[in-house]
Amino acid sequence: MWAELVQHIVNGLIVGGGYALMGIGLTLIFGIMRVVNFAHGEFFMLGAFFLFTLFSLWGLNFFLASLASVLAVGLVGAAVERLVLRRLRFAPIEIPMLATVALSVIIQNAAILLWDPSPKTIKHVFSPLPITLGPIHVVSIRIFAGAVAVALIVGSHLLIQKTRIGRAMRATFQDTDMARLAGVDVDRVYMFTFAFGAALAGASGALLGAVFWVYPAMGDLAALKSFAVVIMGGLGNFLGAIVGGLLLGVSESLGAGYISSGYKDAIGFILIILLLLWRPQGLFGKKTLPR
Amino acid sequence: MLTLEGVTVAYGAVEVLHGVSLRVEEGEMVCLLGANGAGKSTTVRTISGLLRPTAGAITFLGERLEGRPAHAILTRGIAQCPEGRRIFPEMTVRENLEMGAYVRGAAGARPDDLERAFHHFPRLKERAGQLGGTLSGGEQQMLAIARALMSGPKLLLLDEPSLGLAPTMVSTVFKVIREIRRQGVTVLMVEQNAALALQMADRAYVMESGRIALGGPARDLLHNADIRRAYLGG
Amino acid sequence: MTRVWGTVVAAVLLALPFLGVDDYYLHLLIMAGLFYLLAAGMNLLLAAGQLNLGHTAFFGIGAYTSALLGLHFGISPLWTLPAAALFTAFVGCLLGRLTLKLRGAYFVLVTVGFAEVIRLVATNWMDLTQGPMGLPGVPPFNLGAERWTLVSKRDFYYLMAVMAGGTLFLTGRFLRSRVGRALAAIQSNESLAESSGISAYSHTMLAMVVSCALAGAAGGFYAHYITFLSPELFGFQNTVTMAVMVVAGGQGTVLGPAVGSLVFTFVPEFLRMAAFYRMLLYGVILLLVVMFMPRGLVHYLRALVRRREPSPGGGASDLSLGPGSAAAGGTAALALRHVTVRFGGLAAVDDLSLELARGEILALIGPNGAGKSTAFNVVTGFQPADAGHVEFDGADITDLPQYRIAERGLVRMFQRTSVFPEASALDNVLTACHRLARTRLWELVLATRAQRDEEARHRRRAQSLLDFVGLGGKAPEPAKNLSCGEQRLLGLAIALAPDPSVLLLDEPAAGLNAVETSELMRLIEAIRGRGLSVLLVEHDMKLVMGLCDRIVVLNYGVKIAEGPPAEIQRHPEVIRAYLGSGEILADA
Repeated sequence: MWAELVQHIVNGLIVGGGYALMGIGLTLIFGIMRVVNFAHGEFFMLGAFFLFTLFSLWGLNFFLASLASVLAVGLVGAAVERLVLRRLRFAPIEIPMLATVALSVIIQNAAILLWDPSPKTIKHVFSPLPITLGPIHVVSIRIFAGAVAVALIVGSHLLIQKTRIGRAMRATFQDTDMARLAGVDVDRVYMFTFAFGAALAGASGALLGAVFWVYPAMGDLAALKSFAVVIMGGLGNFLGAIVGGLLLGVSESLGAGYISSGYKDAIGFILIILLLLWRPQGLFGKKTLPR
Repeated sequence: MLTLEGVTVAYGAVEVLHGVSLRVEEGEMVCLLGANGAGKSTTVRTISGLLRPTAGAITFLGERLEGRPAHAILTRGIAQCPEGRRIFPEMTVRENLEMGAYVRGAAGARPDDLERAFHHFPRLKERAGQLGGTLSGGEQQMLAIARALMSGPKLLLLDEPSLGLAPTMVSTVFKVIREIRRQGVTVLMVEQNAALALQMADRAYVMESGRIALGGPARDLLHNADIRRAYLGG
Repeated sequence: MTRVWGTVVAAVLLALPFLGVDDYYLHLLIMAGLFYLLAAGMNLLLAAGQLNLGHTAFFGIGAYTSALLGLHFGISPLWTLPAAALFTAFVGCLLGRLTLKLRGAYFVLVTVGFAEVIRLVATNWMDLTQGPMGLPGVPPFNLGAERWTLVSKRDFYYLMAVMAGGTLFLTGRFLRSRVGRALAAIQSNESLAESSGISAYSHTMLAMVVSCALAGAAGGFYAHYITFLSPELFGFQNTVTMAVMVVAGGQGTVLGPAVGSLVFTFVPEFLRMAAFYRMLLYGVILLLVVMFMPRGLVHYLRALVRRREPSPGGGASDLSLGPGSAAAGGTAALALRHVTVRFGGLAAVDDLSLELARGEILALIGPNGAGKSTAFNVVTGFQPADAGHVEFDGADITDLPQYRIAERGLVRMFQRTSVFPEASALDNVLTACHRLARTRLWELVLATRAQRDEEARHRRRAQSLLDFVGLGGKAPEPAKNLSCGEQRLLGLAIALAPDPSVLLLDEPAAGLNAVETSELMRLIEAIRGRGLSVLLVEHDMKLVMGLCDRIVVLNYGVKIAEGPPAEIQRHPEVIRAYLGSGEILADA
């Protein structure tokens, strides 16, 4: 009985790590750029598809392909910021939102054209036999996914806290005009933030795509869940995104295991609605409302 | 060192500066005085590159700066300590100082710059690891000035350094400003507290409704009845 | 002119089935009509600045409700369709209660999530909806009795024509009346709207409920027309389609959604596109529209055919302003009693008491950071006080919300320029007349005589106010095109619109030149002449000393002097506060 519980929790944490990565990217993009990125799920999907193409179709080394996929998604993000979002920076808030909605539709349908809609699996280098750790069994690919997610989360934290660009991002987030006065090129910060957020989503997609399946609409649910994650953690709150992501992953796993698997995907939203009834500013959000 | 000629600035359709002309010579301290809403902060923000003039020229050390983005102006040697201090609340004192040295590039803050900052402002050294938002008003002002100096500027713009500070704190801040001048930094200061500012400055300008109304040596202006009229209309 | 065009188009559309038009085209028109109902609803909410990306959920809820009521209880669609619309409106109301206080980004995200949850429920609750296999055999539409069942395309076409016509009428009434102006005001400048007596929450909720009712009705129609339902209805694709129609057609306009729904139903059909090509095209169009033409087709077309509405005219004698001499009496018009406001450990306002007598002009002055704006914010309900209270005409108004304070007759004019930039000068003032409206919503919808008279009366009032401040000739000009001084005068007219008895002016002369300042002084004196009392915060000493009866001076949140101008100018404390004492450097 305990073993089953721990198993669910471990599985939940691994998937939760993926959600946390998505959440971090989304919350950074909102916090620093004040943009709600509806195309976030598509970056997730592109990460998976790039990995599929590079590794499964073109035979590149698995680890190189993973790295290249993440960087490629980052580049796509940078391009989107430069070409689309920069023009809309001073428009009312619905405009960039609608632009990202449009981009999500374009990217998803382009993916259907480029690769077909049928789900694919990434036959990775890890052995399919589960490793037994005490009471639980975990397949190697999941351990890999979990480890990489942790590494990326820690890495993101270090980037933001310890590096010069991270300081620039934090300064821009806390006081944009003052950041300018301190010599920060805010345009570059915005582009980097968006690219970084996209890359994290791409990494999450590559990891979870390798664990589960790859198909063009996979970004939809991932996007919705990352929204749930950032609402729970508070829009703009880095730590909140991590906690929210892990919490969602574990709740879904427990919910699917003990209640019903059909409604698993709805758990996130039910949690959100309950949370918003209790604390309209999210678990960690401040009382001021994002506008 | 710095010259403004006919600088005009508008917020959308609303013109707020109408042909402002002034100059600051190297090594001087010049004060910009005037009642609230006169356009002092707007002038300083325009020099720093946060606002783009619709007409006029800003020349610094022979180079035209108007219309350039804020970070470019900082690299040319003009740093601003903005109104209301604006320290980064969720960064530590040390990180705020590091941000001041952002333009130094990957190398970060020069160790002797940091040393000098802590020497001028011993309170900051004590609180080096504390978050900026938890400091008192006076400490934040110190931090803001120290931060502005970290980039090694040739010209320092101070916007209302005495705002919201208790009189003893104001005294300390102004002592520091005098020390900075002694080290050769040129200063352009916006102040509402005319009497104090005029005692420290070499020259001053008085602004009214987006224009320069008066200008001259500080000593002369100190006893000028026009100033009182500019402030109190009587 | 528009009436003629409208009648012609309507006549043609109604005659189509008899002109031998093929059933296929009638079907397309029906689908266009369906999407029109959805787009019109989304448009209404977007007019208030709220983007509902879960709108398709309400469509689906309406469809399934009507279908299930018909299937399980055998009730005729004549009843189930309105029931479905009402139920959907109710669900919308619940969601609105939960999310509309949040607004902005949160609202969008929660609506998207909501649609997803509903989709999952529809997919998984097999007993109710038969899940992904869908719900077949929905009873076709009948008007009460078996023989009045709608069978031919033509029958459905006319039903849709009625529904679409009704929607056009309803949304037209809303958007062209004070409700539409209120929604636009909320989107454009919410604090000014609240200050004019418009409750952002109630109006956004109204838009939400109406838009959900429309979606529910559309869903009900769909159920009995297609007679087969599946959870696909809740897919995001539908929402994207609606969004393209609204945005490309022209958000905030009445015809925008109609144009959008016609264009985006017919064009893809004619191009015979596969589903994902169509969606790809929608995405590209949406992106291009958002980037280059965000106001949509109708708006740009209209700009080409610029029509000016004739000024309603009206002399200053039409202007009823101020309580008149009837309001005499001893109580102060406005009083602050021991008000304290703390930010952190610092008191921004410390034990401040002052009284504004009736018919007086009082100024609050003090150096930068003295607490003047904070005091103002406390009076108008933008800032809660930590101690003390505010009395208006003897009544305690300390904790009332902004729009309630405005309703009582205390109006604030904001610092710098606060107008609704996109609206015309006349519409700006007209919007601010909101709180004077006495007719009810149903009268507005039905355009009763009383409502039309009231609207005309308010228009005349708005014009008179513009004449009063000297902007009479600029009535049709968009506010953003006015000069700084003119916008300030407009702000004054806006503040006077709700017929206040006390006016709070926050730095009214900021940025004005000498000529404009004298004009302002003359106007304020004229306003006082009508019986209003004025409290102002100002830095321009010419205005303060020249205009005011009394002056209160603040420094560091504390009142340091109070009295007539001549006294204040010579008061040593005041001089010290402004010019500084220089003593501080004595020890240097």
